[in-house]
Amino acid sequence: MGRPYRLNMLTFLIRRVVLIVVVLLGLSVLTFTVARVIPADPVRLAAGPRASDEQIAELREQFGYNQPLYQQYLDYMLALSQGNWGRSVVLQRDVGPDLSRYFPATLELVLVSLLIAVSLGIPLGLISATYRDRWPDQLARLFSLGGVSLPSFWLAIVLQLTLAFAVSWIPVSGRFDRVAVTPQPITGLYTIDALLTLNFEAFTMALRYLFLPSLCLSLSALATVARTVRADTLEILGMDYIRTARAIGIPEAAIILKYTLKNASLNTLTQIGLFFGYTLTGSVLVENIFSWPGIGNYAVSAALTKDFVPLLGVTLLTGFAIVMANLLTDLLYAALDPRIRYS
Amino acid sequence: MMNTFKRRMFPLLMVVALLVVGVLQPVAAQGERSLTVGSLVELYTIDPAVGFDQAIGSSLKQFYDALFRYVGNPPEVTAWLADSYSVSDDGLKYTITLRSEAVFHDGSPVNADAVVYSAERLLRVGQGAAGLFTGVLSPGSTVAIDATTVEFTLDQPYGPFPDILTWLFIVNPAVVEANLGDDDGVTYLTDHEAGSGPFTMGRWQAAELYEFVAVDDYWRGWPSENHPSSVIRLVMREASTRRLSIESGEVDMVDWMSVDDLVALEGVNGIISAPGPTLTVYDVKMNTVEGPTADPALRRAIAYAVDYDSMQAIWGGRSTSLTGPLPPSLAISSEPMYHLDLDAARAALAESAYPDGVDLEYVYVTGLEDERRTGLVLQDSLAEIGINVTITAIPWADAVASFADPATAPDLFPLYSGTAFADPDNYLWASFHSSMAGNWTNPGHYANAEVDALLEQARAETDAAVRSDLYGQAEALILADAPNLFIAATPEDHIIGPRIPNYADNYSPVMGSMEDFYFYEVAS
Repeated sequence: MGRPYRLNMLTFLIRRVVLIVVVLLGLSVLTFTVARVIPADPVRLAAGPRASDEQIAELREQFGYNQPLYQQYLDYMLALSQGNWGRSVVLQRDVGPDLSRYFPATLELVLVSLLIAVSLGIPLGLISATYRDRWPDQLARLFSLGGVSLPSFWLAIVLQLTLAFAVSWIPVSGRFDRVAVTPQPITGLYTIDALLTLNFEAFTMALRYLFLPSLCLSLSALATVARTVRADTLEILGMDYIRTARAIGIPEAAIILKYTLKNASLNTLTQIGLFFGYTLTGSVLVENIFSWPGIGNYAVSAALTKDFVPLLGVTLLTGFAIVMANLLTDLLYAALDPRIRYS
Repeated sequence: MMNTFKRRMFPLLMVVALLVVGVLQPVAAQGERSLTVGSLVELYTIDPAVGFDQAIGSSLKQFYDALFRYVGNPPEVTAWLADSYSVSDDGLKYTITLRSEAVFHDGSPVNADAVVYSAERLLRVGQGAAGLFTGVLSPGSTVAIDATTVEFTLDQPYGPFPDILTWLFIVNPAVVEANLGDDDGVTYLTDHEAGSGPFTMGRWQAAELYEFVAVDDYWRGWPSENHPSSVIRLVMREASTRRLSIESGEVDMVDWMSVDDLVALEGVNGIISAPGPTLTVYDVKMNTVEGPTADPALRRAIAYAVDYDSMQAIWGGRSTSLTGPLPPSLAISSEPMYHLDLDAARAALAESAYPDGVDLEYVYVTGLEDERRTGLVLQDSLAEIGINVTITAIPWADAVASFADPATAPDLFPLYSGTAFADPDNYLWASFHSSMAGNWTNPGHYANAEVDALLEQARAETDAAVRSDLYGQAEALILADAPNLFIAATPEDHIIGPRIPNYADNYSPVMGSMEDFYFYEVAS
């Protein structure tokens, strides 16, 4: 007799949590080692152009950079276990507050871009499959090709030049209006915070600023979702049960939306899960162009100045977000397809 | 069924309609006299004892006051918190009387104790501008004579002492002491101010937006009733975004713009480029200790082979040629020692250890287009005398790390020398004194005992004519050694919109003074 479903799911979750911890530990060791063995001297950079060797040495000791590498790693992990993400030697401020400031900005951008990708990509894929080889299909496939081919940073600049410059209500850059007051911080996502505080003016303001950057970031995922949905829909539409449904007179719209879409969404779910990680780590160019104060710019600045502690923090936080997204994807799989059972 | 569909869709359609209407609402108008700056850089700190660059210096001048301040072009050291001052005959004691009406933002007086506290703190924290005081002022040498009189006792006479006092910003001791933490208030002052300046802090969103709010009853008063009511500094890392923003009028000033943008936007929609010329010296440092460029004859050959006219073309003719290591307004030599002369170059090369040519590496900072173009000109120029130049781009942090050891320092490296203060000592000490070898101001590890002695003598001299003569002798030795290729005083990189009509009248080419919002008027 098989184990109960709930016990299997619990075992699955425990095993995944243990694996997540192992993955993040490995990530921390790898990142720490690579960052510290590369020849660099962020302390010298932070001390300034006229600092004496004594002043540099003093600063190095202050930040613990004179300790052996393993000691620095242990100190860092011990502090991290207590919620202390360390301190940036170049920025001279704690990394934790920086992460809590920048990560939600990127998360909001990524989530909205994925929302665009799904809400436009699925209908586009369905239309493409339904009107196979006719002009809607050709147009949709051309759009998909453009979406995966065009670099997001190029598109960002083109959209700035055309839309933002020409249309007054589309801002050129930024995350929120420079004069207006940002929503009361709860989650750090302006749209969510505005809705939670019933601040609809702030909500629409946040959407206005999200529009262009999220559109740029969404195109690659949108194109991939559309292509995946098209392919899966075409495969499902050729199956016997669909033929039977048509034979008994079920309307085509119902066949597409009720009997085909759910079965075609599993691969799309996989794509979204993958694109979450891809977009989270690949948002830096779009953030840069639209002056979006996210984790991408923070990470690039830290990398260019060899500021190890913020780099570690970004890597661990991003890694955590990606493994959690993968876990969520697997759980949604089980919810969508009753044939899938984890053990 | 259709009715059911309509009933289900109606709420969704209403939400969409509300969103569309909301999104199409015009952006809230900013204050009439509020200015906006689109800047490449973020203000990672506004602690006067830590921050030391153009953007942070500009911000410090708004939040804080110093004893002296640079004003105008050419920049003049102007008494600011100081009402008057005297110097002892031996040049060791500076006695400064403070303006009695100066107050911090909390209303407490800016007194001599605050000056002592600020000086001691700067030396104690030991970062940023503290380097300017190394060998000049030691801890414990600043004392309060009475409530409004402070006395500095220098380690040795130092002619430009009032100049470097422009970087001693006076902090409110009570505020700092109340927020000391375990790092002398460094964490607190990273994003809080404790000053007496014309602006106080508004919204402060790191890497995004920094707001300076005018103090209407600023103790010095305002030069214009149309002064900015606030200044909002936005971080815009992408040059195309900054250009679009100034062109569309979204911002009133942008920085770090290329010459191409300056030329393209001049006159468009009332836009001007900052007048310049700057006092920023741009030269190519050569490694004087390791590698082929350790050979002085080779360095002189390189100096004679460079096409200096092509170098000026990098800035579209807007730069000013250098005659030596000093910017034009401070220059001692009126004619450049080195100019394009291939015969002289070949003769010098023949004297060197590399008569048949040599391979050299030119290293520049990733993303700096002017430096990349400099490398291309060098590559082309030096090929004429058989020197093969390879060009490598690296991040600035990597470059700074490589400077420490002459074995890893590059053969050729371009560098902008910022103008912390407008005095020959600012340039010559940082770039050519042996104590600075390996710092990022002297990456070529240049050291010459005679030059050291002259520079030490000159900075301790208070007579301007004697100083000029000493610097002239030092310059001659430096030029003979040819440690650098002296290229240009670079043009200003700020672009100004039409809402700041008096920017040019109040332009001062000293680091931190190119955005001195206190002096600006805002056009209606």
